[in-house]
Amino acid sequence: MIYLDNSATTNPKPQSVINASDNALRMSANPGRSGHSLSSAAAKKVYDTRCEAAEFFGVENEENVIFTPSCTFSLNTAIKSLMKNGGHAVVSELEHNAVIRPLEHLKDRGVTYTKAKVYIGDDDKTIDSFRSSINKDTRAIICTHASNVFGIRLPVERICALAHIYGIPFVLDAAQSAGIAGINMADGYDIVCIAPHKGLYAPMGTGLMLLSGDISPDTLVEGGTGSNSLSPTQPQEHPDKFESGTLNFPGIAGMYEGLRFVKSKGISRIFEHELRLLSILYQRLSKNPKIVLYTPFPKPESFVPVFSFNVKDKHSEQVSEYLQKNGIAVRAGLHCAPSAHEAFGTIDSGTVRISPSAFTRERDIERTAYVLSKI
Amino acid sequence: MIEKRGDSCGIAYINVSSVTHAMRGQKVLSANGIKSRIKRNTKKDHSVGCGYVLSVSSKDIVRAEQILMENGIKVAAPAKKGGEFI
Repeated sequence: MIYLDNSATTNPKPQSVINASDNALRMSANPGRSGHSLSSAAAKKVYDTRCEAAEFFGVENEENVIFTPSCTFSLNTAIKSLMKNGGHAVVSELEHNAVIRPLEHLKDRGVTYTKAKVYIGDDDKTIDSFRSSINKDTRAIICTHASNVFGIRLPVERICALAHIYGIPFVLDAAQSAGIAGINMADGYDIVCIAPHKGLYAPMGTGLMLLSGDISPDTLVEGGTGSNSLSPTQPQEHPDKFESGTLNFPGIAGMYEGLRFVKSKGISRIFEHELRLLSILYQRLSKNPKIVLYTPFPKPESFVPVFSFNVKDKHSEQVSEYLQKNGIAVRAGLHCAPSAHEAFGTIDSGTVRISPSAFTRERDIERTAYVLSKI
Repeated sequence: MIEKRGDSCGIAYINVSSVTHAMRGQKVLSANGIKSRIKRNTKKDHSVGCGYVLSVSSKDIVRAEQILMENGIKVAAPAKKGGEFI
C-alpha cells in the first residue's frame, strides 16, 4: 500500500513511537494519580513530553502545554471560551469544520463570524482581507495555518500581529502545519491548537493546546485531576485546569517519541522532502489532460505539502476508489472543510487529496502519477 | 505562600498543587543545586485533598522556597513531617 493520506493521520508511525505506546500500555498506570512507582514513572513521562513540546514550540512555561484528546477539542475549548458572551469572530475562508461548527453552534448566543478571503501568493491582499473583516464587536481571530484541502499557507504571523493591533486574541489552528512548518509561541500567538497524530507522528487520540502566558480559557469539561480533590470546584492552575479525567498515556508516550523523531529529522528537511515529492507529482499531473488542478505550482512560501485535484467527469470518490484498487490510499470528498470547497468551486464533486510524509518515497509518487495516467 | 516544616531527620516538605508543579519544582530546584524528592501527601484530613509534596533538606528550605516562588511554582497548604499536612 502506498499511503498518501498523511493529512488525515501519518502512516507509518516511527518504530520509536510504536515502542513507546506499547511500553506505556504494558506499564498501564495512571499518571498523576498515585504515589507508587509505576504511576510516578508514568507522570514523569507525561511531564517529559510536556517539556519536549514546550521546547519544540517555544512555550515559555511547560504548564501551558495542555494535553487534549484532539485538535478539535483544543479548538472548541478556545472558541467557546473566547466567544462565550457572543460577539463577532474572523476566520479564513479555508477553515475546517473544527472551527466553523463551534461558531455555528454559538450562533444562538449571538455569535456571528466573517470568512476572510485568502489570496494565494499575495499576503498583503490576504492581510487586507482580514483587516476589513474586523469590526467593533470582533472578539477573536481564528485561522488555519494551512488549508487541509489545498495546502495553501496563510501569513499567520502577520494576521496575529494584525489581531493584536486591534487588541483581539489570535487562535492558530496548526492541525496541518505542526511538524512541517515552524511554529513558535514567541511570535505572539495566544492559543495554538495542534493535531500531534499528523505531522508529529504521534498516535491518534492525541491533541495539544498551547497557551501564551497571558491567557487562561474557560474549561470545556471539569472533573478529577488528581489534585486539590477536596475542593468541589475545578483547579485553576495549568495544566490541571484543562486536563480532567485520565490522560491518554499511551498516546502521550508516543507523542514524546514523535516530537523527538521530527526534531531529529528537522522540520525544514521534512518539509523540503515532502514538497519536492508533491512538486514532482504536480508536474506529472499538469501534463495529463484528464486532470484538473486547482492551485498553482506549490512554492514553499505559499504552500505546505498537501494538494488537491480531480479527474474530469469523475467524482473524487470514484478516483479514490480507483487508486485504492491500485494500492494507493488517498482521501476524497470534502475533507471536513466545505468552506474551502465553496471557495474553490469544488463543493459538488469534492477533491482527491494527496499528502505525503517523511516516509514517502519518490517511487511512490512516480507510481501514483503512472496509475493516474491510466485512469 | 510556602510554610516550611521540618522533621527530626532534617527533612522539610513543601506542598505543591499538582504533579506537574512538583516535577517543574524539582527541575528548578535541581538546576539550582538543591536535591528534592516528589512524594504524595499522606494525611487524610488536610485542607486541599490529594496532592504532592517536594521533600528537601531542612537546611535548604528557605532557599528552596525562594527559588520556587521566583519561578512561579504555586503551592497549596503548608506541609510538615512525613508529608502530612497541618
